Amino acid sequence: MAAPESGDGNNGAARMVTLISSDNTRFEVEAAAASLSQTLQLTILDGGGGGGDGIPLPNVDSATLSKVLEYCIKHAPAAANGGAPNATAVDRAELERFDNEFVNIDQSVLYSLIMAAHNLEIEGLQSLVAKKVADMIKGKSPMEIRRTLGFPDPTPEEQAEMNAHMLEYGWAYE
Amino acid sequence: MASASSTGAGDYPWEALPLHLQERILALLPLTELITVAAASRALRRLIRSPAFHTLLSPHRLDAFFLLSPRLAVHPLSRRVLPAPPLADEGPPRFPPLVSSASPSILITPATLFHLPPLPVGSYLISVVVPPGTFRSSPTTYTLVAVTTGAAVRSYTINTAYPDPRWESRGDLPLPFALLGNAAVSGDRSRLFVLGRGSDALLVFDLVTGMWELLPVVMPLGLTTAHLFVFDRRLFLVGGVERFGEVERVVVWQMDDAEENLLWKEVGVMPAVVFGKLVAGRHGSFWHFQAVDRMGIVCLYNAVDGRLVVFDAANGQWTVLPRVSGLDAEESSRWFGHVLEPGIELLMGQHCH
Repeated sequence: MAAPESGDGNNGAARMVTLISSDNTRFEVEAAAASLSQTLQLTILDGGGGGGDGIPLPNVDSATLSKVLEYCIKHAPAAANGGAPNATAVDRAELERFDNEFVNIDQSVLYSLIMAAHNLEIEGLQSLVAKKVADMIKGKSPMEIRRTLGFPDPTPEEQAEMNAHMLEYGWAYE
Repeated sequence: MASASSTGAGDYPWEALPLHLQERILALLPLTELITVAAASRALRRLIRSPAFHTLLSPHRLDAFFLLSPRLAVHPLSRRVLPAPPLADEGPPRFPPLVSSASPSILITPATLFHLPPLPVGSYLISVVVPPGTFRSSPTTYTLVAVTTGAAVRSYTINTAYPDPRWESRGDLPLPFALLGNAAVSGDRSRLFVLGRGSDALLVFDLVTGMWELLPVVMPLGLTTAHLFVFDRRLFLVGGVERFGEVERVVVWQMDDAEENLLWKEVGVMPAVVFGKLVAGRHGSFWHFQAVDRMGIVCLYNAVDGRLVVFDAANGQWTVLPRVSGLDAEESSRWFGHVLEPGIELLMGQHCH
């Protein structure tokens, strides 16, 4: 798990880069993990993010960036192996378990995460969160979907439209 | 649409997501689920009916409706028997289909054949193949495959993409089969895997060259009511295993071509409790089930007793569905084996009757 930068940081073999969240928190993370972001990859390849410099991410707050980096650190080894075609079943099961637990979070955090994953172009994270939100919608009635997505109770006019729609597609609700 | 507040989705509401992210999330849902989502709000309805959203959609394995009659179907998403969805421009077909395609679905009925040159003498249809990538509109062109069997297999195809479609004579297979069973289409739509019955065998028909091949694989002993299906680029076989004339169990095999010799590797057995439900107490007496598949979901049906079991090749799970009643067993068994998939037009609110 990435932590806010606390010292001189890079004393190992792996190259480290610094990312700066919108609220000015600095995160030091291995370049391999940050490079899961297509947006960051080019900057890092050009030598950016190292030393005293950091890469500012004005659209991602520290809480969200911390979560994003948790995902990147876990998935970086598999990504380095080209999607891990040689990964063992145990490795794949471990990643799956991690993913399932990772998205077991508050809905507003999920939305922040998918926005960050989109801005940073982290395809795997976008897919993971999109699937989680879709699963939350699945199997629910229209009213339950409204509640899941945080919509207020329908006005009488909206309620009438909902009823008309359900009547039109009566076969789907039997 | 109103913004989120009182019902607590947090400070980053759904509506704050850019439209393309909302679309990406909703595109993961089956069409039949999107109908419910569209009912939830005006903004969602607008999104779901937009052509931009439709370009993101692809066939969903839970959208299949396994027909039990012209009007009723098993719906794997809700694990219930539901009314079949309306077809684009017409009501349910009046006669049971003769063959139906793998996704996207098209049903070939006697009425369809009325518009084509007559079938070659003595032949019967074994498959209809639609080109890949035609999900967003109902397929308008397809290839039909017909055969005659007996002392040898003779084959014929017709492609409706041609301006003046005609039955073409294709390859022969000089082997005797009483009948050819179901045909499973390969993922790239270039080959058919076909069950030979009379003496059990696995045949391959190359749709491009028109040539037949008998695959060198030993078929399982005592195989009965067998059904081939392709899922995730792998070929599967599901069927009953008979001993002393009695079906003892239902097994799923997968074609294993890792070694030098092809073999059917057992990958699943219907649990005894589930088997008992499907058999409905007919142990020891004659009975049989039927099978149909769509994208790895296999539905097994005992029409006489209205018993349904679903097998999912993605996770190996068997599910017993509620018993069906009130259907004429003979008629239902003729409808079963065909699958309807709703098209995108279903989302457009054109079925207001």
